[in-house]
Amino acid sequence: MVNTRHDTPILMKSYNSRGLIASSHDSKNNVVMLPNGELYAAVAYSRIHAKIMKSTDKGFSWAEAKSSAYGTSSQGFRAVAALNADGPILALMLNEQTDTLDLYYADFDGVDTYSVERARYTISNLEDDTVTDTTVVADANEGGFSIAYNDNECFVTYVDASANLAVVLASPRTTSVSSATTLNPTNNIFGSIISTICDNDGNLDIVYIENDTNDLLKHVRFTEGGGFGSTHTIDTAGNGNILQNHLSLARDGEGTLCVVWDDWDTSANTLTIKYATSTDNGVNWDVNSLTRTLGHSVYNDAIVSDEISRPNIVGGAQGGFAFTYVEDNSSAVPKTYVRVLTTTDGSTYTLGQEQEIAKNNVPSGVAVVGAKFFRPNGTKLMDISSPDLLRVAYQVGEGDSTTTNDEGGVDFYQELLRDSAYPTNLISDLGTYFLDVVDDKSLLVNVFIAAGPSENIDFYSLGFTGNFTQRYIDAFNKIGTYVRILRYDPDQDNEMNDRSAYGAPTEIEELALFDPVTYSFPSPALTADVTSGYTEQDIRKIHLPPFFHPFRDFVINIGGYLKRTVWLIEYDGNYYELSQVIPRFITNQICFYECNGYVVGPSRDPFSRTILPSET
Amino acid sequence: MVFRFISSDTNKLQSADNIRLESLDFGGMFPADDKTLSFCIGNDDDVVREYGVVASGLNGEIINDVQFSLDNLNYFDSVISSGINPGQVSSPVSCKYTPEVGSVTASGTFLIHVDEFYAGQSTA
Repeated sequence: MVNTRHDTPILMKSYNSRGLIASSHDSKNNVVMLPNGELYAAVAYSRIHAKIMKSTDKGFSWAEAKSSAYGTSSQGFRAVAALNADGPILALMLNEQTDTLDLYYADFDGVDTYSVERARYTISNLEDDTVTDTTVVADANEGGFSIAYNDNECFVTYVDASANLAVVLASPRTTSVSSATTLNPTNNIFGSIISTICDNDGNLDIVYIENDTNDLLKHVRFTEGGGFGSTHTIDTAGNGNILQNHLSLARDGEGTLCVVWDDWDTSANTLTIKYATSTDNGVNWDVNSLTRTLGHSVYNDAIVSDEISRPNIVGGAQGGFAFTYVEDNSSAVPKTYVRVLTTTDGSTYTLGQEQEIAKNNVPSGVAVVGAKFFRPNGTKLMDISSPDLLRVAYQVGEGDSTTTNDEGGVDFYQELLRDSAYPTNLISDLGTYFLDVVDDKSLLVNVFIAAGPSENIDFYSLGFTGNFTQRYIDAFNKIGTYVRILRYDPDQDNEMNDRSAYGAPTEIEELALFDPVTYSFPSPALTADVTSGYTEQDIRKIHLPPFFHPFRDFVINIGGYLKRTVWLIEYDGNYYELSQVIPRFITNQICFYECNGYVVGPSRDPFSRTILPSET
Repeated sequence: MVFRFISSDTNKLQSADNIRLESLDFGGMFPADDKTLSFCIGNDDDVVREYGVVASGLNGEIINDVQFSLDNLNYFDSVISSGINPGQVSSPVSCKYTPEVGSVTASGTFLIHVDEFYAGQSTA
């Protein structure tokens, strides 16, 4: 039984954690979905634990699939997960005390299930046994690595002890990894901040930050068998600016690369979110800045006490890219936003409007500090233009790991982008016309154009009327029967999924025609958990006059439940729920509404049951 | 201005006896639907007048779908109601609106604009 928003977490709670969002400088996905629909998330569960969590119900509930073996380190863990097209998951857990990368993968049993298995090797000391733990990576506290996967192999990219960029090829099913191929950068690599993406042809694209007089954001392509190619500078930080600790790289179905990062002016304390696209495999880049929404301000990460936006990007098979970032809203509450970068031809990209995610599930005063995209059930290819297919996991709460023990912890939830950022409008999207100003030589004429009879509008009051309408009104007056109708409006500020999510009903008396359609003796509900369970089988056909529009409002209440206006009609001692309302027209004139009336009983509770589109 | 818009339901022959029509309302329509409303023009001048009727306004998409007729049979983008004697009311002018499939679904407006001419005056 689920009754509160806490029933749809991606993980229930993670204490003292950098968790899902802040677990890695490479802020790409550590949530992946296998071909059978199972979800796996690799999270830094606390400062000394990393866990692989598993969900078999689209992310609504999670169980631990594997926990890190290390429990005494004071350095911490980070975790990343990635997925190749064949399905295996590879998760890396970094033990920063011993500087080893432990790899796990999902072993397919050949039928339909996976189990999480430890890979046959550990990348010890990041391929360099001669160095001490603290010098293995450039930033001992934030060892940087990134993982990218294609159908054939896995690329692990990291900064080695000599501050070189290193790439190894690994497969969880073999007993060894390749020797590292290294690139000696022109300048020091800053903060081990790396993000990678690969294709199926053995090409690995890497973006990273170098420290020169000014910070440089650079790209280099690594080719399997060919090593590193030329480096290209994507952008140079402004004078006194630094490129902040997160960046994220993705490739879309058109082959375009897009990277998003933070450019922080430390003196002015302003942070600019930038993105750059390349249509020639990283040689040339088109750099753009996001304009901050009026009233919004820079988010200050409680973990690192720095201005940051935690950008995260995903590339779609079609339609371009989508990325998320964090900003303080006009009430100084950190919130996470999404924007799409759409294309139809792979060469011209258009930036969409800023949309807030998670606003229906999270109270307005609670921080939402980052998001990750992951692929929903049943979809092989993501289309950025369809918010039905884009799912995000987001983090609620700071997860401040600088304290010994977070009192509140952080919660992880998930939703489709359409849930709050791009909500589905259940009536036709209305455009706009200009309003004319009448003068002394003109007569003003009003029109209203509706998309079709499926709209949730009052056709009678909007003038879809005529002689036929009047005839049916006359008919109702002659043979109709007055019935008592109750309308229950959903309460946006309620967290519940039952009758209490509605206020007191509005009572209406109206003429109606009431016909039995099917009636059978209640049938035993064989699957019910009590022997007295039964299913009502009493359906009536109800006709309502053309001027009585049983409109419905739809809200997702703060408990995360989609609630609609409920209409009940009282007849002969029973209540019937009005459903499947269909307006009937003759020559585009509204004549009557035809509804099904389902008797309300133990087997049908109109206030809590799942709403089907056909029942509106 | 020496004319007035009058409801086509009028049975009063003198323009001055009729209340000025302030607006028309097509109400709700579906794309490809068509509706026709009519109105009359009352000549408040003391000379014979001709009245050119055309749709105008800010919404070109709507205006393109409006036509007029003097016989409710043949429709044109504009019509001229001629020979209206001083103080008299014209025959009904029909206005038909047929929103195209794919029209923006919203409420909107257009204007029925009337230019008045002396009888015999060139309209060019």
